[in-house]
Amino acid sequence: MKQTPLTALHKNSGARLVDFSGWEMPVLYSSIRAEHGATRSCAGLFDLCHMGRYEVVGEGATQALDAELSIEMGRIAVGRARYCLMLTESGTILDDLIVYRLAETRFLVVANAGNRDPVRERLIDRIDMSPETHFHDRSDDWSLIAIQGPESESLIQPLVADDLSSLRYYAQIQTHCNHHPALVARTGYTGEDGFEFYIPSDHAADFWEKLTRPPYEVLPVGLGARDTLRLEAGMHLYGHELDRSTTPYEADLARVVHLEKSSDFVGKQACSRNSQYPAQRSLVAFELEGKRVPRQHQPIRVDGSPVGQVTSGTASPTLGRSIGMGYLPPSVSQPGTTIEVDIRGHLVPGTIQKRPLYTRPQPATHSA
Amino acid sequence: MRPDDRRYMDTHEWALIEDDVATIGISDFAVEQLTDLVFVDLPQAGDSLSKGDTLGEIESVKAVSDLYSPLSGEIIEVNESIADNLELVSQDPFGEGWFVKIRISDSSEFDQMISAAEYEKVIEEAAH
Repeated sequence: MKQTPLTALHKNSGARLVDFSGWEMPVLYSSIRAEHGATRSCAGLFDLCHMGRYEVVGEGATQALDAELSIEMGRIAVGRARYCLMLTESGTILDDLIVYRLAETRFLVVANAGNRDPVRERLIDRIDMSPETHFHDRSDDWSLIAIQGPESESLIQPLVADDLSSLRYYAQIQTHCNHHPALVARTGYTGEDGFEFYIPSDHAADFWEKLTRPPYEVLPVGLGARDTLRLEAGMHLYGHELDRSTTPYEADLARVVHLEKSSDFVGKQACSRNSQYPAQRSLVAFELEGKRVPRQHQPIRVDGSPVGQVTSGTASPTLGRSIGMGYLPPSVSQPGTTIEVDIRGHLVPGTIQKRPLYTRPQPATHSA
Repeated sequence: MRPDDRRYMDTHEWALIEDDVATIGISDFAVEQLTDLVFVDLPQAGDSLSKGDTLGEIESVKAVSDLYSPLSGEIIEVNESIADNLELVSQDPFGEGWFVKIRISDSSEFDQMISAAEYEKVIEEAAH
């Protein structure tokens, strides 16, 4: 299994490590509930070095990315970031990514751990055809560490050279952090305010240790709580809500498929076709009665018939209820619809709810 | 060292015998491995079980695990207090956090279970 620059620290701290897409990653340090709660009430620290970090730079960078990604690069201002998709020719989802525009002709593309290779190949093949454009795999050079939670800004500000209060949601700055060059972005995957730090990997362990010790004492958070946090916040996880058999229209992601952009992109034709017809199925969020926990692939029944499947489920630490997401035919996907999830033979009643199930109490004043 | 007044399974259940009644639970190691317990589903008093049958299931935030009966017999009591308070299992797995009491039908099955010392070795291996 591959390791991040922080794996040794995780092991020393007694974290439980698991294989996540070929990476030896902490699933929890002490308790999913405690780590989840810390992120919702204060702040949590995340090792995200398993994700792919690709820099695309040069005169043809905008054009190359426009041809590979679902959104229009011209709509990302320098210093901002956008969520987008890389699609297959048939208009299904190969990966969901974040693109940062670092400069006019310089972008950073962040891919899921499990999709690092296919995303990398697609970008390299495209850039090979683009003059004056270069691809740099920064996954090893730059470590990715996130701090998420309502206290993130006040906790981290003393270590960052620039003022974070003026940094807007989905914006980034190139600054210094802990005395080293860093890219700091107000992005995340928890439903809370927070920041993602791209820092030289040589300094990653030092930064992590500093943040976990006094006076900062930020609680490290594993992939277990990362999953419960994003699920409450209604965010997609590749391999669960998204895969190569899912279209953006089924996944409620039409807003990040810019069919109107002038350039062609992989999957555009298929998406143009798909956008004209109702989707076969719709992504829903639901809550269940009782304490049984829904899990991926379990059947969802409506009026006694199995018509859909759970994509993610958990015991929500914030809501204190069993929650999940899944796909259902659009005709039965309205909030308020009564469902049953077949949890290993137990038909557990529940109701479709508006997604997301959790919204942070006071949205950051910096929101775009 | 875990309590040596009882015997264990390498699947982390324990049994404590008093006359022909066995109290069944899971070890602190199992609780630690499961973490973040959410739900336990236990059978009803009166149900009969054979050794190795599924005794119930225990759900954590991350996953669900089956519980196996280390002994054959009839369930005479279920610890209802843990259903609403799984803290009892996490905080006192060898005491207040017991699951069921079984009137055992074959005491030789108890002898086939492993001692606390042997169980200690199972855990050492599992931890590495």
